[in-house]
Amino acid sequence: MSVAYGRLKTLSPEELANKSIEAAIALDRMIRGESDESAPIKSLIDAVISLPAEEIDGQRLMRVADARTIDVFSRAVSSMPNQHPKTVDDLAGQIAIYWGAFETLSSVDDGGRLQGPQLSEIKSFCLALHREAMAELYDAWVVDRGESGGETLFGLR
Amino acid sequence: MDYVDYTVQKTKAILAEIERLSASEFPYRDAREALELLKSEIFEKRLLHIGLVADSPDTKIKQQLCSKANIDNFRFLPILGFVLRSTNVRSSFEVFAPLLRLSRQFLGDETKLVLSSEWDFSPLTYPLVFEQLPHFVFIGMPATESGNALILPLAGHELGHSVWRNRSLPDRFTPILQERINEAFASHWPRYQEVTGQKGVSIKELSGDLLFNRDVSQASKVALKQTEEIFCDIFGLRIFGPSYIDAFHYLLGPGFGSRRGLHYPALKTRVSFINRAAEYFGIPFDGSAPETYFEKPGQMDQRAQFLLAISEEAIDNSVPTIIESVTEICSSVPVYDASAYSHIVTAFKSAVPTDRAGSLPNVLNAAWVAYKDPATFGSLAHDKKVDYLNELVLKTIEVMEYEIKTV
Repeated sequence: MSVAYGRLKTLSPEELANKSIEAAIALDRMIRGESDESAPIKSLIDAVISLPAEEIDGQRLMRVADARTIDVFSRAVSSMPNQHPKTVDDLAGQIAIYWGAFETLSSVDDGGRLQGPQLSEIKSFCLALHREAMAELYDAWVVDRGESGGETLFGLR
Repeated sequence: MDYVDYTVQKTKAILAEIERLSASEFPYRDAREALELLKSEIFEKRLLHIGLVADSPDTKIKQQLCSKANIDNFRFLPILGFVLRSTNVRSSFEVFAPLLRLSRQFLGDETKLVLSSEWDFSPLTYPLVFEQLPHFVFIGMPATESGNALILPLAGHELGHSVWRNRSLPDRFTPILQERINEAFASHWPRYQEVTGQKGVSIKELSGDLLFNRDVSQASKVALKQTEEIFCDIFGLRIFGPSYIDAFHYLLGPGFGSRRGLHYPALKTRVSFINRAAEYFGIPFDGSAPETYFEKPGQMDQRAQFLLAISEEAIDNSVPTIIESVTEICSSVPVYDASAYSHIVTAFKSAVPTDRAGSLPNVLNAAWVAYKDPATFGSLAHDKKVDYLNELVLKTIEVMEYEIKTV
C-alpha cells in the first residue's frame, strides 16, 4: 500500500499488527539496552499516519485516517492509564504526544533519546495498538469469515 | 505462565508439517513457493521474534506475541491445506494457464496462482491479503463441481478480490463511502436519534464524538466490504460476460432462504447490481432475475438495522462509481461481442472442440449457450451433457493454449 502525505490511508489490521509488534519489540530491546535499532518505529509512523506530530489535530486526523483506524486508535488510547478521550480532538492530542516520542526515537541524527519511563509508556502504546489491531483481525477472519478464512462468493457459513 | 514454550512447540509442529508438504508433487511451482514463504516469513520469523524477547521481563509483550501466533496459526493453517489440495488430480489442470494469464493481465507478471479443489460449496479466494505472500492469488472451486467447467466464470469474482487490493481500491472508495454515509446519517438523523436515545443533539454536535465515530466506523466497514463484493461481481461480469451471470444463477439461485453476513449484500441486491452493470456494458441479462431470489432478512436490533440501512444507501449511490472503476481497470478487455464465440457455439452443438477460441471467456460463453439449448446433444441424458460439454471445453482450452504459445 502506498502512503501519500496527508492523504487518506486505509490500513489493514494485519499491517498495523505487524508493525506495532515489531515497534514494541524494538522498544523492549532499547529499554534493556540490547539494541537502539529504530527502523521498526519509523516504519510504524510511515505506515500509519503520515503527519508530523505537531500537525496532528482532530480535523487533520479525520482527513488522513478513516473512521475504522480512528476507532482502533481510540480503543488503544483509552486502554492506556488515565486516558479517556471523548472526542477526536482529545484523541488527536494524545496521538500527537506518542507520535512526537516516536519521531524523537527515529531521528538518530539529532541524538534524540527518551528516558526509561517514556520508552515504557510508548512501548505500552504499541502493544495496545497491536492488541486492537489483532481484535480487528480476529473479527475479520474468525467472526466474519468462519473456518476457512477466505473471501467467498457468498457469506454463508 | 507465559505460554512461550507452548507457542514455540506449536510453531515447530507447523514447520515440521511444512517440511512434509514440501515433499509433495506439485503440478506448478507457485504452490511450492507459497510454502517456502510461509515457512520463512511467518513461522521462522515468529521464532526469531520470540528469541528477541526471551530474556525480557515484560510478560505483556510475550503474551501479545503468543496471541498473535494463535491468530496466525488459525489464519495460515488453511493455506497449508489449500496448497496440499492443489496437488489433487481432481482439479482440471487445463484451466491453470488461462487463469494465470488472466491474473497477470490485471495484477502484473510477478503474480503467482494456486488453484485448488475445495470442500466448500462457495468458490473462495485468499486474495493478496497476506503481507508475507505478496503476488499470490489462491482460488478454490467447489470439489463437487470440479467436473463442471461452466462455473469457472465465478473465478472472475475471486480474482476481483485481488484486483481490489492490488489497485488500492479501498483508498479510493473509503472517502467516497464515508461522504455518502455522512449524507445518509444527516438525512435520517431523527431516526438515529430515536434508536440511540440521543434526542436533542444535532449531527454537528456529535461529529467529533468518538461514540458516534464508532457507529460511522461500523457503517463504513460494512459499506466497504459490501462494495468490494459488488466490485468483484461487476469485474467478473465484465471479464466473462453473460457466462458470469449464468454461473452465478447456477450456483447461488434462488438464494439460501435467509440472509447471513452483513459484509455481503443480499443476493437479490447483488443480482440487481449485476443487471445494472450488464445493461451498461451491453451484456444480455434477465431483468426479472432479482425477483426470483428469496431471502429472509436476518435478526438484528434496531441500531444494527439502522446502521445497515445507512451502509446500503451509501452503496446504492456508489454503484456508478464501481462500474466506472471496473471499466477503467478492464479497458484492455474487448467489449462484449457474441459474434466472437459464435463459431465455438456451432462446434459445441456439433459435439466437437474447436480452434481460434481466442479467450477463456469466449469458450465459457459458448459453453453456456450450448448448455442452455435443449437441442444440444439431442436425446443425451442431462448429466451426460454436462460431462460432454466439459470435455469439449477443456479440449478447446488446450487447443487455445497451444495456439497462444506457438504464435
